Amino acid sequence: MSTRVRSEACLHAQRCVQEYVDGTLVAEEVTVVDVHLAECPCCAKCYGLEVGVRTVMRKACDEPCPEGLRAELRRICDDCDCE
Amino acid sequence: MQVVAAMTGPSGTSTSGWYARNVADETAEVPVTDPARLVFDEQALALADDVWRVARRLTRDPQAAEDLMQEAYTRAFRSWKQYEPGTNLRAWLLRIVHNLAIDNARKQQRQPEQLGLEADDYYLYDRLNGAAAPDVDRLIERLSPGPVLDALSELSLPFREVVVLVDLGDLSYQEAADVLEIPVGTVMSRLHRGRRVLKKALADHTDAEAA
Repeated sequence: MSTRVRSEACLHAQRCVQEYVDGTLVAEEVTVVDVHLAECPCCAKCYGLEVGVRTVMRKACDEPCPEGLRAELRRICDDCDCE
Repeated sequence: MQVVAAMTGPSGTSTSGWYARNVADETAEVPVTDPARLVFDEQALALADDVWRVARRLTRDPQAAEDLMQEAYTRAFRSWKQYEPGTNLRAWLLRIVHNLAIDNARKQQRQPEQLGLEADDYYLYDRLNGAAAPDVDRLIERLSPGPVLDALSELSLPFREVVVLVDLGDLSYQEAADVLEIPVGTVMSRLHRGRRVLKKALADHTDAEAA
């Protein structure tokens, strides 16, 4: 793979992408990243992947508690003595 | 779970639901349940889906996850008075799950291995910067979750639990830090590294799909 020159804006966006996606980045920084993502297809793809991995994982793990286990938890609740 | 209390007041004066459900003989000493305990029970049981989502991914198979859930809820019901009403019950339950998962890992003498990925943070940037970079949004729509779940399962516990607590348990960085008793900065760092492994799995899969 060839070495590619990354701009300072790209480096900044890469450092911020996690907090950007999690919504914990301060507002001024969000604006800076927003502007950069609009003009840099590569960083926009990185952002897409950051969102995508969470979307895919969340969807895949969205399974309800098995009914048998739920009934067992209820039984544990009814039988349990508190300390 | 029952707490025995002597009902010494005038018989038939209470019509509250919990009282009515627990009083068979108005004049006798009967087992009754603290109403606060009933509220706790219902709230804790209502969170079973949320707790399951985390427990399932902290363990590597469904049976281990069921065992963990049963252990965690047993401990929660026994120590319910330690829960402070009004605080985040899900985080409280997940702390119990985390503590038990750590205990179980220690029993199995599993040392937390290091993440095998020390490549530069811009690995994916470079991958996606190529002329053949995939349209991630479009690929995500038809992605199977298998590679991401496999990668999640293979993450060592310290990294997996941060990803699971934040991304599946919906805890904030600070709440996850409180549950795990580690600094917020460590949560962010582990989250970053853990997700990077998942993103690599996703990117590898997209490459395979495109090939």
